Amino acid sequence: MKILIVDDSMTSRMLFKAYMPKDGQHELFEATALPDALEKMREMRPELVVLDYNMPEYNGVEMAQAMLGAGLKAKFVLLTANTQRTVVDSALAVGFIQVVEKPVNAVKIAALLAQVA
Amino acid sequence: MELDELERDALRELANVGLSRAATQLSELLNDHIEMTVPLVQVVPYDQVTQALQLDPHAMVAAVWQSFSGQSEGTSILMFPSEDSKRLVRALVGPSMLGAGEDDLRGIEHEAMMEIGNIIITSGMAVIADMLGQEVRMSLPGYMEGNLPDIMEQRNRDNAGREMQAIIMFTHLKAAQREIEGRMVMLMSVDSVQVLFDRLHKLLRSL
Amino acid sequence: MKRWKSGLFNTPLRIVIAVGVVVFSVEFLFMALLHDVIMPLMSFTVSDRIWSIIDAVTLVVLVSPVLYFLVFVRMQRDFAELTRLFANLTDTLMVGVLLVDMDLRVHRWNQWLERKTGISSQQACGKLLTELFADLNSPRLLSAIELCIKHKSPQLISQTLNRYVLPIPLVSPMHDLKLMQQQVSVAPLTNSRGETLAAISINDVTESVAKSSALARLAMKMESQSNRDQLTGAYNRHFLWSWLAPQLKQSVRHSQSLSCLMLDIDYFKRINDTYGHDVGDAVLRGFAEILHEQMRDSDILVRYGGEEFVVLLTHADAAVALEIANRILDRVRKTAIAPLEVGDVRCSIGVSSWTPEEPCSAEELLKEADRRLYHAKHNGRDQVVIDRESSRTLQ
Repeated sequence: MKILIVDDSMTSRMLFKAYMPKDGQHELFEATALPDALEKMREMRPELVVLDYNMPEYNGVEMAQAMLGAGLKAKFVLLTANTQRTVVDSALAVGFIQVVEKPVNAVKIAALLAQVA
Repeated sequence: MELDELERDALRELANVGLSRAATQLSELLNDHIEMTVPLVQVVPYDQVTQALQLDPHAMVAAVWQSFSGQSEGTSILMFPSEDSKRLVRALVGPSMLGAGEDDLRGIEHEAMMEIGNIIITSGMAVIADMLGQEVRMSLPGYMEGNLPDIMEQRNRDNAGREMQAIIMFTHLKAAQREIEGRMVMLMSVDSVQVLFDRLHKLLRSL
Repeated sequence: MKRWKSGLFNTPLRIVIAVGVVVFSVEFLFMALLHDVIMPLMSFTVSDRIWSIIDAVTLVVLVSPVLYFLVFVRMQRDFAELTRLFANLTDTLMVGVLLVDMDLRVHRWNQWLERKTGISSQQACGKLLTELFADLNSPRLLSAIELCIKHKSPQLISQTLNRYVLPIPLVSPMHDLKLMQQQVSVAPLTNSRGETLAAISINDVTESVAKSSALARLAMKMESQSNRDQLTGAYNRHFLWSWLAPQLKQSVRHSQSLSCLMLDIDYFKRINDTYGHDVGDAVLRGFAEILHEQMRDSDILVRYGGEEFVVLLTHADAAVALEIANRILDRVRKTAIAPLEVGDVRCSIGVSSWTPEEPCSAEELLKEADRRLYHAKHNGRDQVVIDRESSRTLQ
């Protein structure tokens, strides 16, 4: 599966990669901000987009809206430690399939991939 | 202590996760949408801390602190400009403060800020400790209002003769349609900071 | 998890006893072996002097377990006594104390709680908090317990931000309060086995909450019923409007001028922050006094906001108003308003006037004064502004 991860923090992207199963079944791309994400989206046509919520210019939900607006057909997952109702609701309203609580670990990522597959 | 780009990013991410979790807790308590982010993290020697905090040294600051012990020891101090913290509490507590006398108002502000600070510090420290595999034990929270140099001096009083450093997290809090710039400072001895950074390196190396 | 009460002091004691018994047994066996088997076997002959030493050592070895035993019994009794005292200590407190684990299971429930909730310690211990209070609805309490146990960080739960923590009904409802108002703290308590419980203490603050909310209601009622501000004795805003409307009508009828001074104490917030609110209040009172001295009997003084006052001058055109305003500015500069010194308190004044030539509404009159006050502040404070463009101040 082609996965695009959008997070301004390099550490967070590294953590995500570190906990991904190393079975060669997934291709991971990274982006740090909206223009970057839109470009990668057009190039790679990811099937799953994992977005951080809390980013400097646009939050993850706003970015997903932009990507959906640009015509991307993919599943969206929000990655955040801010799991309050308003945030979760705004994500679900835009069509996110799941909110994963930060910090990630192997169990959370395995569960996520199982659900998406 | 010099941090490279990745280490700084890691520290900021830990702080962001911690304070986002605090925002979740606060939103439950205050029934409001709350965001907390950490745009910048700095590490400075103690004698540069008041300058690095970039707050008016004459302005009143409301501070909540909890000291922590374990593999790393020190004090976490959360600070907001007094004006902002008062306005925030008034916005949050709202109607029940109507008609309260000045003394009651101060009591209410003090209590509310102490609890809000308690939640923010605990959540922030918990994530940092968990991610770095440290055991941390926190003290009861304390509260004080004063100007920045006084607050830092008071909190550093027990550390005479030790070389101290401060990890400064610039925090951005959005609550009750207001935006408040605050600072969280972890005041620690150089040795304790070293222990923390060693753990941070270990985490980064494992990725 | 075993009952929290037992085992705090017993484990180390048991170890000491066991070690004592083992040491004694080994010593005794060794001596017996030496004396009765090895020595005769080796046909060892020793002097009487040595024998007496060996006998003495043997005696000590024989007596020591008795001593051990006596000391242990005494220690055990002291520890038991101490444990009992500590257990009872929580019952003597005038606060609610309970211990819960991560699952919210209750491990201790003191007498205060028995009294206030009607749930006995026996009923409570072993039950879940959610079973005891079906209507428990405090996410903050639950997350505080989690933060406390998981992260060893004590949590304060204030009455201010949490109207209800544990839903404990009041025996006699106070005003409109039906549930106990509480100030709660949650602190981690770790036993020798490394298990952490949350020690929750509950202060009943219903009375002070009821009193302050009753006082607040009373103050609001008095304020709206009376025309006066409590602190300074000046008229309040409510009175201002009821006075100004008929007064303006009269001015129209008799073609008389009326002027409005809007006054604000400069840097009042700084005074409050530096010297405290008591001094701030004293300054407000002193300031109002100065204003009163400079006014005529037909004028009125209004406390318009926190440190903002309005003086309405009857039969006064702009020139008269300016004169009075400048006099006030001068008096304020030269007066020591206790406990501050001369010059510590300054003020800014905006002046507007209603004249038969330039009539306006009551709202406009005040708004114009306010705008000029703003200009006075903007121009550097401590001055009078009477028109929009320039400021005429006391030289």
